[in-house]
Amino acid sequence: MTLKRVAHTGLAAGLLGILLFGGVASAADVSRSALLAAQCEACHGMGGKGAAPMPAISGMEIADMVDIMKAFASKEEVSTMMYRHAQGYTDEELKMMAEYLKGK
Amino acid sequence: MQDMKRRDFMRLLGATGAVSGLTVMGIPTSVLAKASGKVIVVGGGFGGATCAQYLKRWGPDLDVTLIEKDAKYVTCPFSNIVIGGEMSLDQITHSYDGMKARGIKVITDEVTGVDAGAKKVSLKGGQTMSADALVLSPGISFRYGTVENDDKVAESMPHAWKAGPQTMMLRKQIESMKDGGVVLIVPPKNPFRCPPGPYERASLIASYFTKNKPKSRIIIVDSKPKHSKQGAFHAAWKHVYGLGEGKMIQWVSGDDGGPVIKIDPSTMTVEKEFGDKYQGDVINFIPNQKANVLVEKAGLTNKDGWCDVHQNTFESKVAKGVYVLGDASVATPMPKSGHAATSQAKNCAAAIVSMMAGQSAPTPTYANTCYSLVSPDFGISVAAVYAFKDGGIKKVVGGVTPPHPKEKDRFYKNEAKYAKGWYKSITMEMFG
Repeated sequence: MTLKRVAHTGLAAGLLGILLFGGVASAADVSRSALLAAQCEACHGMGGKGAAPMPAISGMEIADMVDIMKAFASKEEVSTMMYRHAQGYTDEELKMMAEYLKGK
Repeated sequence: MQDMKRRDFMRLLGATGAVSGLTVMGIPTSVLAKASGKVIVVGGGFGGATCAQYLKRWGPDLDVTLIEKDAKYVTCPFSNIVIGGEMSLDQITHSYDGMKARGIKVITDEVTGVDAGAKKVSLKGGQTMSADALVLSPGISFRYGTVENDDKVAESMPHAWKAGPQTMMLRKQIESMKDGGVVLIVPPKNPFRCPPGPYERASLIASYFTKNKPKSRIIIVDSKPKHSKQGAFHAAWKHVYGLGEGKMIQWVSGDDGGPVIKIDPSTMTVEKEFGDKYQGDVINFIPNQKANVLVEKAGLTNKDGWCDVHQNTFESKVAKGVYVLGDASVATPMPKSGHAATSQAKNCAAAIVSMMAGQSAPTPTYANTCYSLVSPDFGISVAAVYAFKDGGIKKVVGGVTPPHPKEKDRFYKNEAKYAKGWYKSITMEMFG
């Protein structure tokens, strides 16, 4: 299958999504949430399941994850490294990461 | 897709009409747009291995082939601990079996040529292969001819800047050196792979000396006026080993005598531009660097010897459908670190998978996490988050471990523990 045809098929599906659901279909298994969470997974294991002594971060309540990340960012919660990461994301991005990791 | 003709558009509408019937029958629309196609990844290090894994994870139907010349991979991260004698080479050597189990085809062969226009590679074994997308993560080559004799000393003054036999060569020289001897470390000019590496190496050799050869010393003969994590390293050295002339670690700045211009294996000396000479019992000469000659020969490098890429997808600026990751690419302001390469690889994989499913890629996001060990129980780090803005990678936030306040020993002990956790996690992600 040539790339052009792949692209066309994709466009067809995109159009289909718009026609049927009024939104753009997200068909590939990659999303902004997955890409954001993949940055966490580097140190916290695949699916955020932990790699001792790196703690597991999968399955956390979304509000709890966002709360701890914001506490790291403000240094209210003491960390060696996490404050330097947590300060790099918007609330919306933190929520997306949390949503993805909750399902893992 | 910009050149799509009206005829094509009408045909697509027709196709949409036809498949909408399937949806009614309960087949999800997403099935129709799964990414498919063939991707070849060259180089099984931090960039390449991670890219292959994420291509398969996010595009399970993609045909992903990884080509790597060695059957097993020895990581540069943690190789300084091997040089310091606290770990064996086996402990930092990884097989590609996990990757094979995930459905990635792994070919152990050396890529000898890249036809970027045709997205085709030729292998030493005689085979040629082409793909819909070609990902190159070849690492570095040495820029020989920039320091006198730099191409003649790989055995007498091992660089140990590609982990494996070179790592053990340097380890053995340090092990057999008499107490009271001097090790010279000669770091390269910027830019180079692993900016804090030479300074971590000095630290872990000092750690070995403290336990085994306390009268021995390390002199870092630098060509640069400043170096990575300088504040944190120097504060830690002062505290743990002693820093300065006659102390266990001495750092000679590039401002002191100019850059290194000559090395002489017959007298075991290193010479700076203004004539200052340093003599060592062991010399770790790390040559100046450029992107791997493979991508240079393929015409993918710029005038400085590195590959310009679109920093959102890592597609080469000179070859469509060819992607360059990791140390070989220009990803400034990200450093040439293993972790940075993995983060780039994830963005590249997301871009390729999305393209092959006919969708737009998610907005990029990048991170770097880089631990250095001052001793096996004393870690420091740099971490940063990056975003894609105005056509390039921009740092959002980040910084280095604060320089050593004595009362906070636990902080640095924890950083050392987390360094080991980082290694475990990131190598699992690559090879698991």
